[in-house]
Amino acid sequence: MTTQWTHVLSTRGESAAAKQSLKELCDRYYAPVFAFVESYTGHHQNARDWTHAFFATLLEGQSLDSVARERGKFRSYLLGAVKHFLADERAKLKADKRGGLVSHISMHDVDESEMESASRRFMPPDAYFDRHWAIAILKHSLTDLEIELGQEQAEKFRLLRPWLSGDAVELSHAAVAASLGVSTEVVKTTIHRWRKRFREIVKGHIGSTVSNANDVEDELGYLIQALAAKSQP
Amino acid sequence: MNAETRRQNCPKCNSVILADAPGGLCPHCLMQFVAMSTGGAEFPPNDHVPPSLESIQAAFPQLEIIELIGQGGMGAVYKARQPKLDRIVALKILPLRLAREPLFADRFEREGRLLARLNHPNIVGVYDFGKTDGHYYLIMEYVDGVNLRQAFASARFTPQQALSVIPKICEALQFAHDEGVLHRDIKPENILLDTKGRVKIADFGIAKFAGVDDKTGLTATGATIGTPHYMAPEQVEQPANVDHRADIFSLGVVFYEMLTGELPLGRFSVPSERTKSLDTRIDDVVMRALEKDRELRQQSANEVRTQVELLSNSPPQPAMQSRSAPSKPPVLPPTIATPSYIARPTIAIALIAASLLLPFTIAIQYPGPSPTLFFWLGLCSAWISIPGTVLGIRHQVYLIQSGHRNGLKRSVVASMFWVSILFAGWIMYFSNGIMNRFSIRDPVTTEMVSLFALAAGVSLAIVGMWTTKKHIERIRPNPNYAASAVKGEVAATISFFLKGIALTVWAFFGLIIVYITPGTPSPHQATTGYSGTPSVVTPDLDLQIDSVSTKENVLIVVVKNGNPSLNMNTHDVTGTGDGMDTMGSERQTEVKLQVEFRGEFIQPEAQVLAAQSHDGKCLYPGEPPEIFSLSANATCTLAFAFPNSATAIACMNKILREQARSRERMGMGMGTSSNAKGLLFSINGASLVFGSYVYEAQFTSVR
Repeated sequence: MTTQWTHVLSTRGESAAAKQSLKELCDRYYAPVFAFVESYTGHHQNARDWTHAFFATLLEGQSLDSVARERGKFRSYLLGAVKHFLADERAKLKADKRGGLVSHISMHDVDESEMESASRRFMPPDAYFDRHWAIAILKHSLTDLEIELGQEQAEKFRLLRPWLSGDAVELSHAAVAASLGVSTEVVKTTIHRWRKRFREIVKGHIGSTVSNANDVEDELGYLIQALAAKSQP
Repeated sequence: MNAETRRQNCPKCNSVILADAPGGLCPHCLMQFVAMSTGGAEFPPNDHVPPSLESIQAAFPQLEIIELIGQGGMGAVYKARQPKLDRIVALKILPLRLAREPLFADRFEREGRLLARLNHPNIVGVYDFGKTDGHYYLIMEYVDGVNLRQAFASARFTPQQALSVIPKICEALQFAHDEGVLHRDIKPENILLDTKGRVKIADFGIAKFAGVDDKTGLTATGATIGTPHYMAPEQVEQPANVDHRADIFSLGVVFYEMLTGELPLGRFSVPSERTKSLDTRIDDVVMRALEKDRELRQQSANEVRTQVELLSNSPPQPAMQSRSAPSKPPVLPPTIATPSYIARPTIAIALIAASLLLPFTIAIQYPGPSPTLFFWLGLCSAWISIPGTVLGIRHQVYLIQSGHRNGLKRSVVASMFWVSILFAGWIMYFSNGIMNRFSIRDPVTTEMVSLFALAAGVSLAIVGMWTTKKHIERIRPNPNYAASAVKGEVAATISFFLKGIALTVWAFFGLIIVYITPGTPSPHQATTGYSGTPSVVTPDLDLQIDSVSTKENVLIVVVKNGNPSLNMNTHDVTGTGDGMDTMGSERQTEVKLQVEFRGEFIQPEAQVLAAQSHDGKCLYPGEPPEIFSLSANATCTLAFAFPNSATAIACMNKILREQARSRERMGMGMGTSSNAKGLLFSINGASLVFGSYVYEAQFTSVR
């Protein structure tokens, strides 16, 4: 199986195509990295700058040599790389005598409006990263599925989307069928088809970040755990 | 991404779906569903639809099933009647998915028996449990009323109501915890209020039925147990290590919700900020229960109860209202509400003032020359420190009793400050006596005493800073604490540091006093007495003073081993001055002996009664040399008569002072130990005494 990540790995990120692959991967997982940086440093304001700087450094290809050696999952690689990056930044800041990249609590402007992100107060940054990673995968997968279905099925998708996470009492096939003007059987079939497709997409996304096809199930299990660790605050 | 704040619950796992959830779906359930095989599990039997009344009635012929009264993640509850006993019961049917889990039957048996043992007025009792027709069930006490959730919905709780409910919950929790049963799922839905206003906790330990995997904290179906908002952090992170303090956390969440109507999510503010009329001391109780680190929470449900009851029994302090600037960040005191007796400085000042009176009262009883400043410093500081010590101990007892140990360490350190003042004070006080006993100003002793105080001061400053720093480190990562609390801690550090500095300055002051104050005896020395050997000098006394001793203030001075600086001159007060007219009886009565130290007459009014040298030669009366000097190592005994006791004492003081000075000049106490017993005094024929003992003799025999 050749995935974006295996491609990056095999070419050590030297070819133009590999660089493109890496860029796409990085675009996709910007959110978890940002979440990690924010959680790790405690700086809400500066986290974005650091995340930008991190990806810029990464895409310049400076640290791809170590990538090739690890041959692990893209997730592990990215987390390791961002930690290295932050450590370097910290060293730089210290050298500049401007104070380290340490966690500070703002004495005054506690940002109440800050998004109530999942239980950050309970989570170590690594777990926080993993959680956001899993969410990123799900988000991209949902978007991909929606795009695949096209504009004409957008409303249907909106209505049937809740079934993607399984059945629940609140979800009534009949009600949706009525509002869509189709039979419950059609609804059930559609759900079944979409679920299948959604699984493929999710697994595809996961697959693009691991170096071995056998790792997909493991990674999936890992991500479930990551979400379970704090599926709610 | 959806920016609006959703408060939607996942229909599957009932957890809140956050704003960052993909497509508004619970990410966990979504991912989990992805992982499911695409086979027959596509449409798993829906566990969430409760069995119909008919099917339940069929399964439980011994009951009359009345209605479905509740349903949740842990099964459905039916209201039923036991016709034989004619009582209404609650029948709980556990969900089928649990029954499918491995080893569930064993667990159910074990836990069921444990629950049946929980017989407490505030716990919903379990009458029976078992398995019928594939349904695992529990027959429980039926509570006619509402749960807290429903109560919340109908009306907001007043703080008083909350304060009356919480202790009941605590009682029940404590009872269960003592029985070794954790609830694991304390939430408003599980707290019932019956029509008579009684509080009952339901579903005790039911969560345990779900059988948590000790490693992952997941059930076999991958679900976490407990209700996320109410779960303690460790319940999420290390479910294997959950203990009763997890219930205390959940209780804290319920408490918070009762007071504010909101859940303590994210960086939540203290309850009193949300509900203005609230006693700010409640904040401490709630926030402590919500500590992320369970070590910092109340360590038992009883502790919470004590604190809450303490609050409801004492007048409220709605400090929030009195604050003028609303923009100011809330001040969250780092310790639980300080007892009012500490908070009222006037009382403390009054205590200190009263305690000051005591040494003064003692002093009034000793007329004559006042004791040294050094002595006063010691005594006063010793007394001053007593209220501080007592208050400190009371505060600690309060902290321990109330179970609020947050400020304990700092309180102990504060007490250490007072105790060390007390100690240093008494050391100063006693050392004054000790130094007098040896009739020296021994710089070594002095330095040791003062260095002790110095070290105490510095170490207090350091310990104070250290403990406070630790405290700050502990609370800083906790967003629950307002930033101002950290500021308060910093202020506490500075205050500690200043106290340390004050003690240090005080120690230096003592050091200075020691060096500048000449040695004077203290009245208290008398009581400790001279433990040396008076016999050393008694054999040498051969003075004829009996005739005068009864009515005169007589001072007998024994100069032992000589004092190089002591010279005595006889003076002719009549003015003849040549001293050559010897043995004239008229003249002899007018001669007075004066003691002179380095050219200064110490007591012109003193009348010499007798003087005798150690070798037995009578110096006076007899054939008095008008001027005589004692040679080194000579010993002589002198007797003076004074017009009154005050002059006698003044004279003696002067002699002692001069001696001390000369000794200091000779090399700061080095090699002068033989001179330590240079002077011995006696007044009015009392036994030979030394140093300040003469005061006692004065007071006892002259008055």
